[in-house]
Amino acid sequence: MSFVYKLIGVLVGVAAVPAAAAPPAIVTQGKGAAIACASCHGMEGAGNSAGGYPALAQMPQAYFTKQIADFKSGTRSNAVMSPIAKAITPEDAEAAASFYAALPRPQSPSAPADAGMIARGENLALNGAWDRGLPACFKCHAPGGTGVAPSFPPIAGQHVGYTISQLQAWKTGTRTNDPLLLMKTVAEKLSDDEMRAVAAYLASLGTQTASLATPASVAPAAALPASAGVAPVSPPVNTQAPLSATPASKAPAPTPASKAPLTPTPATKKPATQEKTK
Amino acid sequence: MKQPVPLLLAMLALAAVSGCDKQSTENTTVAPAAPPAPITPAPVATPSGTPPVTTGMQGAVFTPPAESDIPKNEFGDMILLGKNIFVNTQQYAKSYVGNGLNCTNCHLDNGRKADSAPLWAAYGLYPAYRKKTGQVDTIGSRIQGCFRYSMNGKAPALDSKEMTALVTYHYWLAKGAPTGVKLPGQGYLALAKPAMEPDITRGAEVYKNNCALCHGANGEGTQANGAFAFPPLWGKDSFNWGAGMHRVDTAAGFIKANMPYGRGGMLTDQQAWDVAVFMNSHERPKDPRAKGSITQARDQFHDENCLYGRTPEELAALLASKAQAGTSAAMSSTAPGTIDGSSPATSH
Repeated sequence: MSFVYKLIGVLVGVAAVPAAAAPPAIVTQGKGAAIACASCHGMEGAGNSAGGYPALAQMPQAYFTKQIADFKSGTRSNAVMSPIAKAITPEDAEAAASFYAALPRPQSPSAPADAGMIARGENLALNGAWDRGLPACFKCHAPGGTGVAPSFPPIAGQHVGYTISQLQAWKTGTRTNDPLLLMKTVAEKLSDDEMRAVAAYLASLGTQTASLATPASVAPAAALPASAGVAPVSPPVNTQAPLSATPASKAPAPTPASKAPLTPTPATKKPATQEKTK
Repeated sequence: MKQPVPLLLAMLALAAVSGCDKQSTENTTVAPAAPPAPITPAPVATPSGTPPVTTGMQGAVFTPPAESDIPKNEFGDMILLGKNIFVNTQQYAKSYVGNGLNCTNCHLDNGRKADSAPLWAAYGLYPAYRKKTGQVDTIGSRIQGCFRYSMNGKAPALDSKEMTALVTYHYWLAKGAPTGVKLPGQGYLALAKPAMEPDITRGAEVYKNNCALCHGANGEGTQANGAFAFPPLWGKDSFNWGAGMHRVDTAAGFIKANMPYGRGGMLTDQQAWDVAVFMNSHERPKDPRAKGSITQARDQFHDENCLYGRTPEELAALLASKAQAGTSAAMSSTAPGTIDGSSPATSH
């Protein structure tokens, strides 16, 4: 646990630094066996298509550091990256994560692909194939594939070969660090041709700025109309507790409703013990 | 149409009611044992409780036309507008939406997915009398209900461009579907009452382990690029107390069949009920039908499948009695009227 707190401490420290700060030493020079990140992933986080090195720019910090940790623990494995990850300190992982998360997503050189293939990939990314239980990529990775922090990385502009290699890794079980088996479930349903198609489409998406043009990614909640039809919030119970009193979250997950009038009491005695024995 | 499809009578679905309006009563009265129409009343293949997983629909499921079949003309333009409104309600019907949701949050696969209140199954069930509104609703006035409750906003006028587009999209998706017939996959999965009474504390644990990843530790949803990438489940940005999804039974069925994306059927029935009661024990925008006190509104609009307006003691008592009732209901689940799915799909 103290390890986690250390991470958080570093994270906070780094976050306080302006985004344009000088790249950390782990990125530019490396440390011992942990060779410089930039030597493969570039100073711009563009990665390298030929080498199979993924683009890292815009990757959520938490996702980035989780991958390093997972390489260490073995739920992710790669001949090149695993030994490097094992040599990276948590502090350096945070520093590199913070650095790359702040960079704009670079244009990816898309591999040659015919229009039909791109279209098939686009259809999968936008619509999925729900009739066989295959959700659209963008349902989790955001419209345009720009990612949803903290757990869903950007996939737009990723190198074709890298995307395919990861889908295959999930499918064959050599990569197992996806939460709730979400990616395994998806990859198992994709044919090789579909993997190529979707990877080609994602690579073709280019910069993040360009992908932001997707219509679905507009209209923030802040712009919600204060129209007459919008009803005010009311509590479920006969209390005057304002809405904001409830989910406001000092504590972690299981307690969100700890202040809600309903939650704590009802019928929880028996189940609470059952839960422990479960 | 495909194979001999197990068809339920539209009649049942007309009960397709809504919100919390004493639904069970309504269904049992409306669902006649002797169907008047000469449609093959094939027995429902799935007694409530057998979990037809996402793709596990028994028998042939209606297949709506492919998106690539949208005609390239004025009619096609209207279909596309309807689809855009449906997929990105936040942008395309902005002035009618009062929360952070899009239609597709509950109607997955752009309104195509079975057991996720597919539009192709809803379209042919209207006009229908609904107790919730006390009138014969058309598909248009039915959609208005979605805006009022699920979107916590205000309804587009029946002759508005938005409504025309949405109805057109429904109509097009239902191309070739029968009228007045409840199709397999209509509405949400009817999930049998679980062995143990649904429990908020257990539900919180289910939520933390399976749902918080996308919906946030406090049900607040997750945003990306200034918009909700994953919908808020309670609180000011979510559906209000008049929406069908605030019913614990409806939510349990939706969750069981559809959550998380691609992994429908992952949770046990018990977990689905537990997490549904957890989700719907939280505060959310008020029921717009409520005029007087909350107790009054509760008694008028809400039944034992809702946690609206109940003290912890009342809730505990209700859950306990519900669990008992659930046991007997499960035993008699082959009785007509109790397994019709009661189409909360069409109920918001």
